[in-house]
Amino acid sequence: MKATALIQRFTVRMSFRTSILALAIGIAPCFEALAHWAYESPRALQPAENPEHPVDFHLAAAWQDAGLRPAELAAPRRWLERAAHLLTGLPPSADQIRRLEASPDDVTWRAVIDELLANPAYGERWARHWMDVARYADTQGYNFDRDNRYPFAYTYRDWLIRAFNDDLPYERFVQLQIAADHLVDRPDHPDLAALGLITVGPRSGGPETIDDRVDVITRGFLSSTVSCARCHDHKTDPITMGDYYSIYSILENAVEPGELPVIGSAADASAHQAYLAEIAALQEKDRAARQEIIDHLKSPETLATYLELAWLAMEQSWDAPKTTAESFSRGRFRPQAVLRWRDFLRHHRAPERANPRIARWLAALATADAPTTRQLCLDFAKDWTASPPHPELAALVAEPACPLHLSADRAHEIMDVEDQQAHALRRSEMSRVQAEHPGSPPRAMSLHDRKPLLPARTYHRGDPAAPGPEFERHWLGFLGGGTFPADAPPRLALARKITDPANPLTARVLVNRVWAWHFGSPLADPGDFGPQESAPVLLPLLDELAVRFSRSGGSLKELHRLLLTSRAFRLDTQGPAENDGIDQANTRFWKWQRRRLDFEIMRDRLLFSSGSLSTNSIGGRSVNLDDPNADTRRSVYAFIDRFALPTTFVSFDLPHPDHHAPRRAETTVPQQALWYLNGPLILRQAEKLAAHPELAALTDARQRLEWIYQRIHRRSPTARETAASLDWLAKVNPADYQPRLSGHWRVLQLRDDASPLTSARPFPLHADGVWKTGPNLDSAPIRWFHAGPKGGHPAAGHALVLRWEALGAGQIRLAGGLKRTQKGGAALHWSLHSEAFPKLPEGKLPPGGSTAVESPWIDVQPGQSVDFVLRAPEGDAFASFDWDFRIDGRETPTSAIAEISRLADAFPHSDSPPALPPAADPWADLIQVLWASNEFQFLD
Amino acid sequence: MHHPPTARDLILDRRDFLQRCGMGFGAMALGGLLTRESTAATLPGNPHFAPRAKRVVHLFMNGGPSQVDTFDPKPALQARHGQPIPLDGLRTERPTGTALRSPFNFSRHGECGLEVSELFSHTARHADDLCVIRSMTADVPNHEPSLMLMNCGDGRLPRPSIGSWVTYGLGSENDNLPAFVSLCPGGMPIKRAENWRSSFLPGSFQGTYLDSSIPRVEQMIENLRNPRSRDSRQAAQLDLLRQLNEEHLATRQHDPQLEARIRSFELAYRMQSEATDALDVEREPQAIRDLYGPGAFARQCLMARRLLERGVRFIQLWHGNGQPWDSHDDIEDHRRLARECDQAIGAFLTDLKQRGLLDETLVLWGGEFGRTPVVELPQAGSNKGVQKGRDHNHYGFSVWMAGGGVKGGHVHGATDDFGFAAVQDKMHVHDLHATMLHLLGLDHERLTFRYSGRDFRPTDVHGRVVRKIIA
Repeated sequence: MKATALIQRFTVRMSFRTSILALAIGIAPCFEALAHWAYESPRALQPAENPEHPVDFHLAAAWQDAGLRPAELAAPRRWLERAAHLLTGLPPSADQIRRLEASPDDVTWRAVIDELLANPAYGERWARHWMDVARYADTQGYNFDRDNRYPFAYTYRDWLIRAFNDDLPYERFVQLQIAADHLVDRPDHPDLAALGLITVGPRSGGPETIDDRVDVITRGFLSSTVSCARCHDHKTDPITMGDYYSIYSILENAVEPGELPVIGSAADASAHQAYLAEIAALQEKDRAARQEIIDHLKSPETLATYLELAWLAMEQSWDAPKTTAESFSRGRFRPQAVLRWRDFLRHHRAPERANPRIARWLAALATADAPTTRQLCLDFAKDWTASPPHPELAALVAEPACPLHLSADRAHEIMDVEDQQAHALRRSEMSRVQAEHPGSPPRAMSLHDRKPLLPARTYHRGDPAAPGPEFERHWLGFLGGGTFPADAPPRLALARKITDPANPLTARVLVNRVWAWHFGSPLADPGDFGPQESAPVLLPLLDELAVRFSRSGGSLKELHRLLLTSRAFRLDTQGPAENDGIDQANTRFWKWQRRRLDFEIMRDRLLFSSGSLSTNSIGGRSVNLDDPNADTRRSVYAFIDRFALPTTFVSFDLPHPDHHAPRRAETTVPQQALWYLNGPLILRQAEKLAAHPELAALTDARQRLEWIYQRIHRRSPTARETAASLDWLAKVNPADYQPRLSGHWRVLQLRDDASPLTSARPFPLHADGVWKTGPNLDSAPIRWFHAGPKGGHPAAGHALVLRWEALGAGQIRLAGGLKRTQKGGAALHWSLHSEAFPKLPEGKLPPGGSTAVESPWIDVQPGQSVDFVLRAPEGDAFASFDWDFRIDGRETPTSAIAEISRLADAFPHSDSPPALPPAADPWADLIQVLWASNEFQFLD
Repeated sequence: MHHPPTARDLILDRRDFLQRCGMGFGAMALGGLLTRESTAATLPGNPHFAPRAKRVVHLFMNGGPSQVDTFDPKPALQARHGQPIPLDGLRTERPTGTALRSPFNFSRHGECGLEVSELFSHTARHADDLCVIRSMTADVPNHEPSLMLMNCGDGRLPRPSIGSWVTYGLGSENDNLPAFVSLCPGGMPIKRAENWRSSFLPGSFQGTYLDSSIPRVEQMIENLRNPRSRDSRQAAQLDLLRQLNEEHLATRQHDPQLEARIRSFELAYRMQSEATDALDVEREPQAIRDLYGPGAFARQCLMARRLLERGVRFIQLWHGNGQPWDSHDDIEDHRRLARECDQAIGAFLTDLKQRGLLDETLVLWGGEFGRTPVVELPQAGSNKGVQKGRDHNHYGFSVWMAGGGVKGGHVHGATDDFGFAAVQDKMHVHDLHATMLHLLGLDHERLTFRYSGRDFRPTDVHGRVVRKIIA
């Protein structure tokens, strides 16, 4: 019966031409849609008496059909590397390696898997997988110039970590993420954080936000593209607009509380009081601002103007823009309040009501001149605001529609643009304190249902401005349809429908994801289980896993055990060459598919091997990964700004969190290589590991290499690797490890401008950011003589010397400009000098003039310098100047030019030369190479 | 039937895997592993038909330049200054009042006699190359959705930018530079990186944003330079990396992933100097720098030309951060804005022409919408006390194109007597996109990507190619 209804619906939707076609070829398309593999319950086909591992049983059948021979088992060490990285995102321990290599039997293997599953790092790793599904981010997207953070998105991430570690049954896992508010027994229950699945998405206007939520639920749990039915019934799948708007309506009715529920105590309990005080102050500021708006409306002087404006708006039929402009021209009067008064007065002047006081006021205004108008309005305002009000107005004041009824908590109803901007800034400030204050407790990004619920409606062509008639919400037609049971709120009922054991999709979708996260590619397209996808080759395997997963009570850990104990998980990366002619893409998993570690594993593994990573602090606020302090944190704790996704994430294929991501793309682009070559994290970590005390204690190069290999690859180097590395170390050019060309600025003076430059001395005083000869420029020993980062003043008979001294060797040039800031006076003389270059440019600078200064390229050795000298031989009246200089450098005439120093940024505050940067360490370069190597990046 | 490429194709197909390495910042020509001919005609990386243009430069006047003050003269507006004009139900974003005449003089230019205001006198010297579209329309009078519509073809939903679609469709012509670059001095436009996002297309198609006001190239591109290492030291380091990777490879069967990654390091090393070279405008002769004039816009026009010469596919030049052309308060501000870019735009067109680049480069000038011919009224929170500015207007506005197969010296479409709404040959933003893609040899209905069970295309279900403006 259900099937017939579906055929009807499906046929009706087909165009006339398609229907004819369908008739011509029988109604095959309809039956095909109905018989779609994914809409039928999965069945376990392996006979109960068959003792084989179910994964291997089904794969063996597929290999036989295709004529494939599987690869041999890989070395046990490989199994362990796979299991540890895939389950925990971190390398295995030395002890685990030793034990499994000593006895690679089933008992040991199972024991190791259990250890890995019991490691809290497991939850961190698998939460990150789920965060792709949940399009997790710590910001809501574009929010004008306001704070766009979700201060508490992290509580959802932390909930996921706990849920995986606790092996929460999948049914519960799903239901809590959709309807935790209906499932917990207290308002501060930590499980409320599960609703983050719905709330951490992008926000771009009401309907778009709800659409995103429909999508994350239907694609996330059901791999079904229900969102395609927003503007019309699905073009290819049996998904109707009614299906879409049923779920849309459920989510439209889920709203966020004004104040998010606190679900724990602040990490820093001592700071909590300070936090509460700060929040109270902000709330008071907000209340005061609102009260001011209301006071302005109610005080007789300003109310008089409101009333006059309302009268004019009534008499001259102003529209909203006109009202806005006129209200503004009188000062700061809120147009919305004027319009409310206009409507209220108009209502009470109507003949059937005709309030006598209002009538008298209006009559008097009709003939009044300006001063009288003002007086009439003021009197009228006093009658309204008197206590008690004028007897003829008392009844009106009591009416809820009376604008005087507005109170501070309703001030937003009459806020103008400027009020709203100020209000948004206050909210933003509140949000900042909640996000950053150490005493701010964790909160759940919770939801609750509207009361009463809004009815379901379809929007014609998806346009919210064109709602259709109300209809009764129903479960997805292609999964059986029917109204939701009345014994539960609709959102909970939806969650139960999704987790109903009879639902053919939910378990399949999940095991398919888990398979792909372990084996590198999925059994069916995780993005779409609809009728456009033909039955996967390995459907029996998918179904077997789904059935067993359900039977296990939805235990993910049990599923991991099942997959990892299969032979398939332990196959070698290379198999019989003849297989390549049959299934080169390895769609039947006849070998282990080598793959690159994702960004998170790679970064964590790097930091783990350098000793920086802390693996025992689970959860907490998100951190900016660019901050060196974040080197202790696992990548799962990265602050993810969906509005400005860091380029590192983009380069390394982190899916954009504006959408649910069924899977990650995997690209190889040079930006990734640049990260390994030049990225700050890898450079500082390489230096750190090279300086490790254990390494420093070793003097023999072979021993050092052994230590580094153990640390990074957890093995000894091969003879060839040792030879290559030692050979490379022996050949490094020490000059390459000298500090890069750098230097420092000095500001000097010559008491006699004829003296040689070598006799230049520092100014006696550095204060207020400038070098000078006395505390006050106008009474200093040499009046006005000074120099600062932006400019200064020369002195007649003296010379001002700006010197740049090199700390390395290479080619430099001094470039920039000089500008006189006053019109009067005489010309100044400037010149460039360097002991390394005989003749350099010089010139004169007339009053009010400006000039570019640029030296040719000068070869410098450490200690050599270039001087810019400024004199005032013709007099120093009106001689103030601005300057802006920089030093460009290059290693050789053909290498790239780089700016080495800019005076404004590196202006000297003392005359003692800075310490020479230490020479670099070739061992750090070697460590960097090992981290960048393919062995470190790929899981064999 | 042609099966449009899906995410799965991009991820699973081996040949395509290699090709993917060839997209984004620094394409990889993988020597013997990949030849361009190996790419099937239906896969991305090839046009659908012979292109007229190979590259696009979008001069983005963000904020919304006023059409009646630039490329759409309206004598009736001048005559009715200060009087109400019929609005016919046109709603503006903010309160507006009576007609506001343009303070700028228009004159005729070129053989075609194109009327251009004094604001764009340098641009006007290329009148015979310009194809001015005076009948553009968008959907709403707000910056954010209109920017999204102009850049990504949808005002509300997160969709890939046109630059991403184009690089997805045509691939890259340069192995060492990004295929899609967005330049903006001193920050980003509003909606920031969403303007050049790849959305559900792979991240390698996302635009690379460069702050053109940063004088040092190595600070413009993340990780482009090693702050500590010398070039010769890094070269030696890469030698060791290559040796160790080859050791690793030797014990394993042929695996393109491993080889591609080895190659990516060599490319990255080369890119360090080539990107620096491409973006260093100081290397231009003084005469050329003088031609473009001073300022940030001139600098990025010059960068754009250097990038175009090196085969960069799609370049956006934003006028500035935020929304500079948003002259709500005083339309006179357009004078300053035009002064900041006009000379450079004129020089850019001259320079492209003299190098023979204009024929195959499609240049587009315009904002996300235009401005009202009526004055904007003051209100709290904006334009206090002055009544000389114009509000947003999506009912009708002007853009122009040049080069790349469009008709030069041509005017397409018209607005009403006052320049408020497009009335003749209306051209929606979707039509503009369809036409631009057509000029690039791409059929906007066949340029698709399968995502979330649907074949998405840059123009959604809209757009038509406007053949009247094609030469």
